[in-house]
Amino acid sequence: MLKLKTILSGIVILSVFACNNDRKTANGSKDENNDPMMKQSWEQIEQKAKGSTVTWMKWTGDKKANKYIDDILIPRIKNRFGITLKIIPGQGPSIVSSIMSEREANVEKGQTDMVWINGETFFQIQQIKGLYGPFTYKLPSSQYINYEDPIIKYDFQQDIKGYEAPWGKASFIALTDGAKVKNPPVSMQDFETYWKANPGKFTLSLDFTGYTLLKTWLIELAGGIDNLKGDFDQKKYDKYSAQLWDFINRNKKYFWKKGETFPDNAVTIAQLYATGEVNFGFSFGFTAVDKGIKEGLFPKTTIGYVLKPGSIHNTSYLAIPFNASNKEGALVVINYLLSPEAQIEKSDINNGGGTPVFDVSKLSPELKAKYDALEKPKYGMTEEEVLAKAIVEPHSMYMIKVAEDFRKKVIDKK
Amino acid sequence: MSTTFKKRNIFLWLLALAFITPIITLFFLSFSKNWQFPAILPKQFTLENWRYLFFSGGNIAPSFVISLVIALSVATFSTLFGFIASKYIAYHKFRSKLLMLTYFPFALSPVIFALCLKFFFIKMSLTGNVEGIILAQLIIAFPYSVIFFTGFWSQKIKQYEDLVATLGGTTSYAFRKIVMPIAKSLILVCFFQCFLISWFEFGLTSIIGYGKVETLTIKVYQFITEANIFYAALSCCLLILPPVILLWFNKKFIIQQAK
Amino acid sequence: MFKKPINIISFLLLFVFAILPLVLGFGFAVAYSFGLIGVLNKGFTLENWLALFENNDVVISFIYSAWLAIASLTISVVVSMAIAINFNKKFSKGIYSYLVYMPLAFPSIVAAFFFAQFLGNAGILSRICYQLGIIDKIQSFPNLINDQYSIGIIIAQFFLSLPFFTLLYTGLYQTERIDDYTKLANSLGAKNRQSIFRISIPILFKKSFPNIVLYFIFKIGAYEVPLLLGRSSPETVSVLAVRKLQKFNLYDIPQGYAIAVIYTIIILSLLMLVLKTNKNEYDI
Repeated sequence: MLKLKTILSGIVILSVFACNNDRKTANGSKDENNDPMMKQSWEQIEQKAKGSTVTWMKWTGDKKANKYIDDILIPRIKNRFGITLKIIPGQGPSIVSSIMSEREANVEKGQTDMVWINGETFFQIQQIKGLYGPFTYKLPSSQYINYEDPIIKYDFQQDIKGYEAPWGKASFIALTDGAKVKNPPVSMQDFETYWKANPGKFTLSLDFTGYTLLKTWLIELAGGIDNLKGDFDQKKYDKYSAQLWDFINRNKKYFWKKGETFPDNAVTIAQLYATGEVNFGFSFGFTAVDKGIKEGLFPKTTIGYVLKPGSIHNTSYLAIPFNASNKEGALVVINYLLSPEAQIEKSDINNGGGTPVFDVSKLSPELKAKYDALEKPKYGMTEEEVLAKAIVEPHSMYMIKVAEDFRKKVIDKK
Repeated sequence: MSTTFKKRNIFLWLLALAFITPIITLFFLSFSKNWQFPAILPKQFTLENWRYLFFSGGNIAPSFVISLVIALSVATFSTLFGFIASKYIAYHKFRSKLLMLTYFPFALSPVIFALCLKFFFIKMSLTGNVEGIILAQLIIAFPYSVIFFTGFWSQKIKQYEDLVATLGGTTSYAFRKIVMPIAKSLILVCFFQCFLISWFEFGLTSIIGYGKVETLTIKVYQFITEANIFYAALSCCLLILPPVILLWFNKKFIIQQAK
Repeated sequence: MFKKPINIISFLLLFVFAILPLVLGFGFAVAYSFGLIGVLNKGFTLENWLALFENNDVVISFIYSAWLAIASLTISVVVSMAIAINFNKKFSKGIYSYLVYMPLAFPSIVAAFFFAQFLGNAGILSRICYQLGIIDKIQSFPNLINDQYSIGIIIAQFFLSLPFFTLLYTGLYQTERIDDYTKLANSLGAKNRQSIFRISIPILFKKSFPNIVLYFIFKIGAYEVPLLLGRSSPETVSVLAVRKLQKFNLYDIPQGYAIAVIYTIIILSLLMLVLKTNKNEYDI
């Protein structure tokens, strides 16, 4: 009985400061532009950042990119700006939940100074007012970026409003072994035919890569991206997603492990593809094929291709949590990562690969020459080929809904 | 008779194999590169993994040290505190009720417990740092230590202590001359048990540590999610090493482990 | 109550490190699940609890966790009893007494990783089968991890718990003087089989029952092994709670805490039952 009382009083105490919490959040919408921090000159910001540590939470699923960051980027940032850059792993949902817990606990000095996000993560963090900004206007490197370019201005149909700085562009492609799969399936119908003839050779991952495939099919069912542009439309979603779940449920018996389980992430699928357990992989970035072959992971006959509705093309961004304890440091690091030098280096297929965010027309001739001199992919599609088929991302809610319903209507359904 | 003898031997051989294979496998994998299906042995044996992780940017040595610091601190504090608190419980009139209370945190899944406590750790600025991890792990290791020692404070020890007291000896005399000599080996066992609880911890550490405190178990998980099996195997080797040495050194330190 | 300062310190230690965290953690989970705290919550509501029971995921998850614990425990108990009865001497000293403790040097996450590498479709066992000509392609190897029957999880848990039970039973075999009893029974004309099934096993089982239940309680909360070797569905309680609390949908978080509340209540009730019904103390 005594214990029950203690628990109850504990709850009362908790709810008291929970109410407190709400009030502060409501009043917390001060104009960030007036933040004294942002009034400093760029030199002052760089000076303040010297000797500090910046904690960057990011997805760490790309071995080559990790190695580039560990071996080249971190030492360089240390040398040039005197900043210790520390990477902590965490992708979308864990970034949201960590910022949210700090919001709930009213933490003023947060654990992370910058995060790598886009789409539904941006959308969700914005819901809890979890980001600091606007800040992009302050970055000297912003001069190379065209913020009016719709692919940069809108993150999954949502205006970034200076709260996110673009870091990389990516396009969704499928990859397969050309030696094993003569006519790669492009439409959903092709896939259905392929699965029936070759059971067990296909799966998708329970992460943004897998969900992007599902969205691609949703777009195909909707008859093209034009039908799903703009805000989230529940009616349309209900209509097309019902068809999508039906399509998957009637075919999942032909999936890897009979569709009874799905790998957690695209990295695992790349491994399964490498060992020949499945015949398809999916990736963001036309350089994925070359990277896989260079690593000795993929067979040399691997090809990349675009599915019927087009290649979903998006930008990923760097942002600063509302309570970052080292905002100056984060600004300096983000500024460097956006600079043409860092962007060109990152786009190298020996490092991260992918499409840089700068506007090529804004580059100096020397920088442009350097960019053009990058090693071109040998095996996959060229950037131009992929971009010719690029389509925009539908609203973030489609991603959130697809992820949720895939579990409810496919995985948990026996 | 001879057939049963053979069967028995096969059973024993299989068991031995089952116990030894994991260690050998992990050890081999840590020196491997290029291990494509269906080859049983990798194409290449190399020191590169070890070299990279230890000397160029791989950061495994700091992880080893951090894990060691955390485990030693947790073991020291929980053994000390447990030894003190257990006596209180053992001679308390609500002994069994108090003991049950200490069982509770020990029985809960550390990862679920950590998720429920995360809020308070954030409030106290104890996430993402070593102090926080030590405190969080103490919450599991301390109850273990209390339960461990409660059995020690038997009627017999009490009688010895009382005897010393009636004979005019001080409490500290009784403690030094009677209690400590009997308790010494138990304290050592408890210390190593708590060390292992901390050394093996993953779920709670991942929640409270925020990914910032990279203990060895956290590293293993990171490497697994990157599909970097050779590095993961290497980190596994480092994790197994201290317990195996302890085991070799003295079985007693390790065999009491329950969880 | 506090005659000596040492008692105050002891009480404080107990309170700070054992009682307070439990009360705070449980209170927080309860409050969150009912919408009393949390940035996205808007005051008291039963919604989250109702949503949780809209489908039977949670119930399935608890049954699944219990089933995994029971399956791996059963195998461990049977094998370790067999060891204690048949090889009692071999395992109390010599090389086997070292080997059998090897798994104690393995953290769960390492064991899970090893079995993933060993039993996976492209794993060591599969490669050996291929080289021996038993299978001709990767797909022919049976699914042993992330599989329908959770074979990988059960094997890994068995591996981890075997030394614990072997130790328990070889110890009990001696302290309960089972050798003497069986000799006595045999001299009275009982067959070997009879004395094993009528004497050794019942004594060992009865004496170890509280330990088995305690172990069961620990194993229900298992996290690392099912995380790495399990399927997407069903998930064990720990994996499900972590997913609800840390993954995709922000509005799932209160449900995650509701699961934590249910889990805590179940575990603590079970524990009370075991500790109450058995007056003896358990040394770990």
